[in-house]
Amino acid sequence: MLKPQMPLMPDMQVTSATPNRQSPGNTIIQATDLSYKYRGNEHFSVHNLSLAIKAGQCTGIIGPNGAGKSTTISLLCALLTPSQGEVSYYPSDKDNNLSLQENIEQKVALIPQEYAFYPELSVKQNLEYFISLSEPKRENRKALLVQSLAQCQLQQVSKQKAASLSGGYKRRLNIAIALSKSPDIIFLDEPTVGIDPVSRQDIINLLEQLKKQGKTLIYTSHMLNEVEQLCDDVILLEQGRAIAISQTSDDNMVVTLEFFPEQQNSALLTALGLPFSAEQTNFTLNISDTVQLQQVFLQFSDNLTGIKNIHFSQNSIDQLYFNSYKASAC
Amino acid sequence: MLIQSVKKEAIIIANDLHSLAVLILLPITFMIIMTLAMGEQQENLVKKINIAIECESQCDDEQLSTLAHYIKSSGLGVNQMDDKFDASLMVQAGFSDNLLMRLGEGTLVLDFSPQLSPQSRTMVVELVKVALSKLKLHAYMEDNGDFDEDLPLLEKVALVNTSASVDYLITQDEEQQLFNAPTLYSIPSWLIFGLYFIVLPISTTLIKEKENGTLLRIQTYPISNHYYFFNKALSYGVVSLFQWILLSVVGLLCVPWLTEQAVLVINSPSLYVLSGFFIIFAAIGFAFLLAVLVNTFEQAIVLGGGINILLAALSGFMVPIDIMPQALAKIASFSPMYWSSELLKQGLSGATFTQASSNLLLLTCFGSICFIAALIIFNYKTKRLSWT
Repeated sequence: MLKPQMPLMPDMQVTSATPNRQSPGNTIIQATDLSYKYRGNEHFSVHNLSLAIKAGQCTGIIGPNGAGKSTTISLLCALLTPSQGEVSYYPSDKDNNLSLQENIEQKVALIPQEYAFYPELSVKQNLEYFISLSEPKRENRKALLVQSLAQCQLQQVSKQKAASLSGGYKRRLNIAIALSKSPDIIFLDEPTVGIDPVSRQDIINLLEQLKKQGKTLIYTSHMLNEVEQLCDDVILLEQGRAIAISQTSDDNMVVTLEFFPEQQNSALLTALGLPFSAEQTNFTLNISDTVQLQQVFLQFSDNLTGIKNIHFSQNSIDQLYFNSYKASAC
Repeated sequence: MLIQSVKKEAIIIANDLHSLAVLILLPITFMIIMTLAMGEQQENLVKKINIAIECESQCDDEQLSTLAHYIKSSGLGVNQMDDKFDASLMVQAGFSDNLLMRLGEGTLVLDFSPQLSPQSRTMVVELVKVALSKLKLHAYMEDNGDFDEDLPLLEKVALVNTSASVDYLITQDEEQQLFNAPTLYSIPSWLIFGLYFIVLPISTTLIKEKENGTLLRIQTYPISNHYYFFNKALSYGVVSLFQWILLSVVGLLCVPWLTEQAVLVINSPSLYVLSGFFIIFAAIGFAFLLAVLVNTFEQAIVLGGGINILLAALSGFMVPIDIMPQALAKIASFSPMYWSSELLKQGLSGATFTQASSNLLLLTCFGSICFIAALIIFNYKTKRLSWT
């Protein structure tokens, strides 16, 4: 039997079942001095990690294998108890009188990399089962089912057995199950792995829509271009430590200065001891350090016309990843 | 949630041909095979065995012929040495002369073909002994002149057979005749065997849930591990109940019809129904304990399947306990499968609740211990789950 062709999703509807309980931009998860060591391991898998996840944003957690991504996420969702430090959900545990576990049960949904559902069941039966775990009221369950199917455009395959779905539809079902819980925070592990580019883009579009709806996404992936496309903040982990945080912070800004190819300019730059590339027509200098930038402007204060162009840009995630990784290795 | 959970587990099992085979087809097949095997009448078994009689030297031909008739009248076939035979009786010198004098030790040599089973060999020895006793009686009557001189040999043999018959002395209580039915042994045994095999679908579901992240996902739902565990146990309890009803109907009605045996009557219906719940409780508890211990599908098949087969063997499902060595028979009394099958037999044979109380108590204790241990291990293992 032919699998139904998956439609493109430019008009994918994403609606939120419950209003977000936290204003966008405010911290929704705070981890402080988090450390965790697995039994029998000599080294900490996560060491003194502090981070803040902002509501309504997508935060990427990236890093090489063994960097501590999985442990960090397990700690954030209370699947593991930290050896040291703490995780708080906001509104704070004290404010809403909920324990960490209760906060997670109410707000969090996980989307593992694997197809975390029952292949023998149909799409609808899978959703019905998972909804029954979180929603005791029968009338609400039906509404959640209809909404989850619509959100991920699964209506036309709702009676089809999950095992017979295409990879793209399976990924959507994986997401739909998480959304059927009406979470505020969604942890995603490589949600686009193993699917074709069109389906991948559909999933990315869906996640962007969720972001617009105010959902907080915590995203781990090795697909750095996806992380760059989707995430507002990025946490780069290496050996259990955060070695770079945020692609939007000023620290990550790069100022490219272009100078006229004059002898005087070359001498001034050489005097600063900064590495610059001398092209045929220009001297170019990339600066990400504000102190260095200040020095350059002071040096050129008498000859500002020697600066031909100033260009502001951000390091790409790839650059951030490799630069930080190299720095850490040194 | 329970309805959804039962529905989910039922669909998963219904979609798994291996589970269906193990839970339904396997026990039904065993019920039929074992009922046929146990229901074979001894006379039919004996008819298939042929014995050859040969004289080594100095034999009384008439005496040999008489012996052949008595062996035939016991049901065994008598062949010539040239034909195919399963046992041979070699008559040596001195047998004929010493028959009435308690002499002639070792003058008969009985040999068997390697294909003949130990049970058949024992049966042949006993039948040959009966035939020899009749031959001795025949010789004694001949010696005393109890036969008319012109009476043909066959009539003399018939007269001795009638004189030696003791069947009229033995009678059996009508109620006790119920226990002669092979179905009373084969149906409860293999029904129980099927119920305990619920371990395989439970193990595979738990392993799949762990491997594909479903169990991890469920950790963020507002249900505790205990609640999830008991819901799952209850769901499988419902599946087992359906299996028990189906196997009971097939076992009590269809198998006797197929194997031409008397239909089994449930003499104590209330005990039979109650025993179903206790047996399912113990079987599910045991299955969950094994299921939480294993980590892979291979372990589930080897440990779950292997232990069940071992328990079935120890519980007298394959070899009746009364013919087991004493030590093995004693071990059987510690097997939950044995308690379960005994309880079902008690329900069928009309035992009272008091008579069945020890089995009910043993199954309750066993099931409870298994459930508690399984829950502790499940909790421990679930807490060690992490995002991978």
